[in-house]
Amino acid sequence: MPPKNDLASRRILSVTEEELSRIVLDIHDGPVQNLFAALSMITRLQNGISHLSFEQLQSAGVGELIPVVGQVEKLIENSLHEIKFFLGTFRPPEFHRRTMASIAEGLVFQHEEWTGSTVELEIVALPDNISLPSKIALYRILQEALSNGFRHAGVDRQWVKLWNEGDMICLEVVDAGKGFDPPPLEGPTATEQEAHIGLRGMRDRVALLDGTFQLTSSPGKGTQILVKIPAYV
Amino acid sequence: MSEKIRLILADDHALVLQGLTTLLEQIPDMEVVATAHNGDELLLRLEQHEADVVVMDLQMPFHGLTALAEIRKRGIAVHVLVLTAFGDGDSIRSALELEAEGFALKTESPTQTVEAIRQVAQGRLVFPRAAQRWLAVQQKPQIQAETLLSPRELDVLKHVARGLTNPEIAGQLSVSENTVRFHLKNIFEKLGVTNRTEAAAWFFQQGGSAEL
Repeated sequence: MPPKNDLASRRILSVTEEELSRIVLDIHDGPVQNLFAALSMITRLQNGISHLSFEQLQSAGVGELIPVVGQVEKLIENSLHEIKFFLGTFRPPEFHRRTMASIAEGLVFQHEEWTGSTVELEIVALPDNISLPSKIALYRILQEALSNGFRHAGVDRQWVKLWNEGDMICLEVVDAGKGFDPPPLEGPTATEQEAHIGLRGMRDRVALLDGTFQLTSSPGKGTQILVKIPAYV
Repeated sequence: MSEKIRLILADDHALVLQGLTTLLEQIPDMEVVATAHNGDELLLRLEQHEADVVVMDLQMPFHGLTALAEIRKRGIAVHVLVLTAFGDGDSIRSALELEAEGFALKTESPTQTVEAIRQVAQGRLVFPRAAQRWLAVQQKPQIQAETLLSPRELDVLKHVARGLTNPEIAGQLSVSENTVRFHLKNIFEKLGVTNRTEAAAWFFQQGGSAEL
């Protein structure tokens, strides 16, 4: 039985996800619907004036207003795009209902959709009853690892493997990209740099659940992340 | 297609309905015949109006999610395009499991929705590229395609799985559209499915490849 404080910390993980879920729903129900409606109307406007000649528009005294309509359309489109990535990144999957395998598949799907890259996903029979905090940690770590690989490794292919060893769930994310010299993540010299926030986040999520986190990389040699987290906490 | 695509729009956000209707009414080959604000109303509108395509959000009150299942259960001959703000794996899988034929996003330009409507109306499946992994594993395989279907039917099914329309398949196989429809009817009966999405899903889960 973990100490009381540890239990509270682990519960906080799911509370945070629930709060995120609420914020995402508010944005979904409000701004997204309104922006999509507005964009539909502006597209209607654009289509309506597209067959008019410049002279016709000038004689109606609206010639100089037309580019403004185009600019407004672009602005709304860009806002919707930003919101799309926000919703996708922060909306938690249905942790309670979905299995870890299904959650990982969903994440890999979204990553491929957004980046156009390929992720080879291998899942070796996982237990169905992995604890909620463990699922959340594995999901957020995989999300960060895929995103890091895509942004920094300079390759469009990654390999992900999930399996279990006894009561531990293992997650490996590998790429054959640029690689880098990893900063120290443990001990007195452990990095606190802003630039390493993603790595620190992964390390801390693992530590909270008494798991292990191993990052292997060097320039030109690709990167491997290996995480082991207790299935039941 | 010479005639207009008849549409029923269903969304619980009144502004979205208004915006989309305004846009679609102006598109020459489309016509909005009815709108609905929830799942129950959508089913009612489908009884009152003939439509080619339903454009619906899955997150609506009063049975938004089950309305699509009900459309399939009742065997209503209408194409369904899901229009939602969530493009994550769970949402796409829900749409696929409920046998929608297309998926469009409210976070993309409405011009894309218009194009998706046109494609779905032609009998194409409109899903993101990465979603094919689920199209492929929707159901467990039971029987071999080759033992169940004639070589010609298998040909037709392959083309369906590639997302081709009936006229396109007719062109590729040098037969009439009526012949394609005839083969499709037999294929649906033999596989126990009711539409192209299910037939394509069946094909992929057999390990079928759409490559010719």
